[in-house]
Amino acid sequence: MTYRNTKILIVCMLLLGALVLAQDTDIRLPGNNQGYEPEQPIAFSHRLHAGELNIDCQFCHYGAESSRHAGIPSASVCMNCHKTVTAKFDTVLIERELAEVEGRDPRRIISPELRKLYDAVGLDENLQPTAEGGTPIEWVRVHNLPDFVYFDHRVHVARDLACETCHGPVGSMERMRQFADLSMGWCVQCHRDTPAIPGGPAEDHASTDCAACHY
Amino acid sequence: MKERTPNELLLPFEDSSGSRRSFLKLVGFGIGSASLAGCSRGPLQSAIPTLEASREFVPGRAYWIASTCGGCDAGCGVLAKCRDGRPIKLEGIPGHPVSGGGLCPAGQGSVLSLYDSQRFDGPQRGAGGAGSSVSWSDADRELRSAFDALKQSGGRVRLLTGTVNSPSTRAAIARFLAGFADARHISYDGLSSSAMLAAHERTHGERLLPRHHFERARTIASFDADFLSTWISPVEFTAGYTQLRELDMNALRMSKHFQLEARTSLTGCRADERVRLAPWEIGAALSGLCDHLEGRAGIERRCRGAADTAPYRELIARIADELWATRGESLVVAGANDVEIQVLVNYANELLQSYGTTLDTVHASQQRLGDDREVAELAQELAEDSVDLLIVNGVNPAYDFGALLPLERAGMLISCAGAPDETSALAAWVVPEPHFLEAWNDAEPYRGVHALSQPTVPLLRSGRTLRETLSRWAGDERADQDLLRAHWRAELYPRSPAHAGPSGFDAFFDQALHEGFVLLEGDSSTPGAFAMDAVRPYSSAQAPVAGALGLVLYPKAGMLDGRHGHNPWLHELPDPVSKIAWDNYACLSPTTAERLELSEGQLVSVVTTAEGASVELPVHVQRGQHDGVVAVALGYGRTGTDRFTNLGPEWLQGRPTVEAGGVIGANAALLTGPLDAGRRCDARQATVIATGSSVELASTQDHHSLTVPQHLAIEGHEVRDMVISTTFDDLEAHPDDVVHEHAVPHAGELWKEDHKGGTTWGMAIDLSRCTGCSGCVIGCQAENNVPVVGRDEVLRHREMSWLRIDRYYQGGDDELRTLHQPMMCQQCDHAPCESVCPVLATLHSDEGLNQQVYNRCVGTRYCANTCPYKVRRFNWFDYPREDKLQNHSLNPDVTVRTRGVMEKCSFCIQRIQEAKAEASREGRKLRDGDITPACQQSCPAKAIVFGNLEDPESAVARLAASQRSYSVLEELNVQPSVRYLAHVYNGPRTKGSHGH
Repeated sequence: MTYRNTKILIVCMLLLGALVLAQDTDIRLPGNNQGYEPEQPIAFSHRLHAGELNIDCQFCHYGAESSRHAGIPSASVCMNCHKTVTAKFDTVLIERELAEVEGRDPRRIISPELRKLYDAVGLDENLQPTAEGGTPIEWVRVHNLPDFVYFDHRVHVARDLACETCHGPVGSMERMRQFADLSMGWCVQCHRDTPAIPGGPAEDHASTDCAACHY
Repeated sequence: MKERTPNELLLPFEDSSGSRRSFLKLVGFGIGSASLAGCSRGPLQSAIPTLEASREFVPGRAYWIASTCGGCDAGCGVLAKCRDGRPIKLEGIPGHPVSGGGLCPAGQGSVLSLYDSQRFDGPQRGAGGAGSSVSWSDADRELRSAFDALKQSGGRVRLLTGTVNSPSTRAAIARFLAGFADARHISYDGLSSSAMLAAHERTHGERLLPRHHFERARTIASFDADFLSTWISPVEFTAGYTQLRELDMNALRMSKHFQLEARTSLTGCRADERVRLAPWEIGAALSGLCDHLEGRAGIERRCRGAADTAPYRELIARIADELWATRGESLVVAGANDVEIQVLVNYANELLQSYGTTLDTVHASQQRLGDDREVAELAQELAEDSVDLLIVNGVNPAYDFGALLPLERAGMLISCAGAPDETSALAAWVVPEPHFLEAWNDAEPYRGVHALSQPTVPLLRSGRTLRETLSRWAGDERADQDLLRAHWRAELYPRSPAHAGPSGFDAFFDQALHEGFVLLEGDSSTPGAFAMDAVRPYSSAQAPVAGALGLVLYPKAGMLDGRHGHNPWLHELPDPVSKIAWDNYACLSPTTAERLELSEGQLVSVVTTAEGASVELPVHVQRGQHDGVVAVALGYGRTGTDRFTNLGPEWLQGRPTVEAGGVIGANAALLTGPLDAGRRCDARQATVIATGSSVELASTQDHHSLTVPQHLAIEGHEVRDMVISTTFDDLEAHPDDVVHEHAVPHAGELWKEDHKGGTTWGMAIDLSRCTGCSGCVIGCQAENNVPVVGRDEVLRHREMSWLRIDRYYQGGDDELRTLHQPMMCQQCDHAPCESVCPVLATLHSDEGLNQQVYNRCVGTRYCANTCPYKVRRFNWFDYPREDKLQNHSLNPDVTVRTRGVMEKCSFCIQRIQEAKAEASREGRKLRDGDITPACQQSCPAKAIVFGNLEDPESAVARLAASQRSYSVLEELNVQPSVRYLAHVYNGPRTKGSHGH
């Protein structure tokens, strides 16, 4: 073995060592975005909506039932509730009490985050449509699979798989975070462990064909 | 020590212990480890939902919009598959009254034209492209004041269009022209049927084109009519024709098809009996046929004696016998645009009692309404400088007629073309029309069949339909949709049964929109009785003078009359007969080529003897062609096709698809001759003169050959044909012998069966039904994001099509038989490709699919080398997808492959997964027929059937069990999942081997 090859071997072993260490640290393989928690243009709280208010996931992400993508809800979906809910209830209450004390009609309180929603939809201070109209909200995508992977939400929803299985405790996340590593090994492990037909034989598991996801 | 190049020696990184390579390796490791440590947020990606949610449009879910194909005037129904607000694929509407569910290559390809970045965006003043953009309101104001001046002065106004079978547009035309003192609407077709219309005017007293019912025709005699590929309504005719080629072993029946033609057409390839008949002999042959039929009918002999002088005397007599035996279910058709010939065709059909059965004059066709005589009159008027305003829409007269129609002599020329063409380049104004997928429209391809088109996408480029433009100019400010609805409310709704019901017009219109068409009784032609006096035997036959050849101009399935000249998919589609892509050429028979000492690819000038008009083209030696003719395809040589110069990948040895400033092919339309004779495609004479140089034609025929060399054949056995054919009589007598006489022994199994069981996806392709039309090829290209590689790459055997149509010749030129075989990945159970892949990038699925995993593939190409069917395609380059607009036609459900990756037919795995997901969503099992691959969906002949081979009840399993079923290269025992059903001729058997 030449001196050069020995050098390369040592570098390789160091890298391997680093990989082993990486298991326990925050270092991940390229493409693994586990724990990704980007800031969003509107500080939407899943903890409040999915956790505290216990709104069904598919109320907003209705695509999950019928499409490959669960989808990020259109602003009009938000407006179903936020036409009337314009701020936190306690701030509204405070304004009401204040108005009573001051002997006037309570003013409409609009929270700064919801103001961003109304701007997007194209509503003015009085929640009346503006002449300019709206512009769609540019959310930051959290879960993003490579282009050669075709994951299909609807099959998993049809099998009654809980959203939390892959997305984790969304009801406790203030800001959306990628829970699982979404690696192929992680997908395949679940497919191996899950019978194709609920309650069916274990050896007849969910498809592990390449073409189940790659085409 | 390795020898070093001078360059390496100059590099500063040299030292005694390592080379530049090892340095680069270390740098590479450094970068690699840095990326490991610093990972790993991908680039920030936005997700932008719409402002308004919609029940119908769920992201990631396709939706379908019914419309009518605008690829030609046949009026086939299409469903536009849309994703995220844009159409990505066209598919036939199953059960459509015209097309029945299939689509031709031009129709499949027309979705790409929507995303043509060269289309006009709003009106322009001045020559097309070079002109200045004007707003719609300014353009309307200026033009209306010009029209007002013309109305005052009584100037002559002409509107020149293609076939307008949209009733609402016709109404708008009438309203617009009514304002002028001397105004006239003139129409012509690039592929003219003017003579057929005129012939019926003579024989039936009404200028009409009957509807051809090939599905009722048990005996067909076709004189040069290419009805399975380009003639009038090919998808419909293919569907009808193949209905009587259905070979159900329990109820055997089959139509008989005679083809007498000069060039080797796709239809001729299907014929049970085909003979070579020169264009100048057609009249005599038809007169002879009529003579025989008169004799059998026992009526006054108008063609007496013609049978004795007819060519192919015995054959003509036999054809007459067979036609007469099935009278009432027979059909005679001719492609010639010659009134005398078409009168004889009508006469033959009248004698055969075809009118009312195989020919419908009541629900007449409006797919071609053009009148060549009117164009001749217009040319006269233009030459006299007496046309003050000429508006052109839907046709390209500058390309079709050249100097014969002096457009520049019109006082004002307005072009309504959607994209720059030869005519718009001459126009003073361009008032563009939208692509058919962006616009409202209606059509009446047959009397009583009212088809609707609706926008599938908001206007990508600013345009207005002719109906809206003319209405606007006539002072009607309504939007296009309102114009259309108003017409339907006033004209069609009162005639519908819904009118009596309580649901109202909106429900009626919405239903028509949903279906794409509505059938209404009560508007039909009323032709008179057959006028026997119109009939006389054909007289004006002229054989070419010595040294000249008859000139046959023909359309190709993709280009047609040139309207698809800017569509790269259709340019790269190999012609199903010649297998040549990216060019037109002068076809000569082998004998003639030898006599003229010409060979494939030699450039020649084709010069018409009468006018001396000429085009320069390479020679293609075409078997089966008449020795006395030279055949040239129309539709090529469009200006602006130098846009394809940089089409292919850029690399050191890359050659452009077309030289900068050049055009693809040559425009043969200029050889059609004087206008007063009509648009004759087969009555000219030409000489062929070698120019001395030659080019290479991009023929795919010898690519991916499956032929097994004799020395590799299994000992004691013949090399088996790829395409097995038999005759109807043999099939009836000995159905089991069709395939079994070619049976080969298996050498034993190499693999253990490890199949999970339950599902094996398979396909059955009935070669008796397949016409080779190539609709599936373009359908596959659209569905699977198959790139266009350019002419040079095709020459290097690197075309990327997953599905190709192989062509096989059989027999000599006189009784040439041509067979077509769609060839795609055979999804072998014992796939040789799987065992040679070093990285497991291709491997077997539990459902019998041969999966190709792009992200694993490292590009060794071992699999392509070992594939016996030669269906694997390698991405030698990142094929340019720089046209961002065109990328909108990509199917988001299929990965766009990168350089260095192998790919191949996947049986449309994305459709399999989609169907499975929908079934699972609905909580049911997959049903037979849930999954339709793109090729099967597109097939007008229903030759391709896909399904689960393990389900004995499935359609594919039943076909696979047929006596005609075999697999190609069965001797290799790779156990393909594609079964072919032997081709059956209804005619005498020819012995002899298949050439390739």
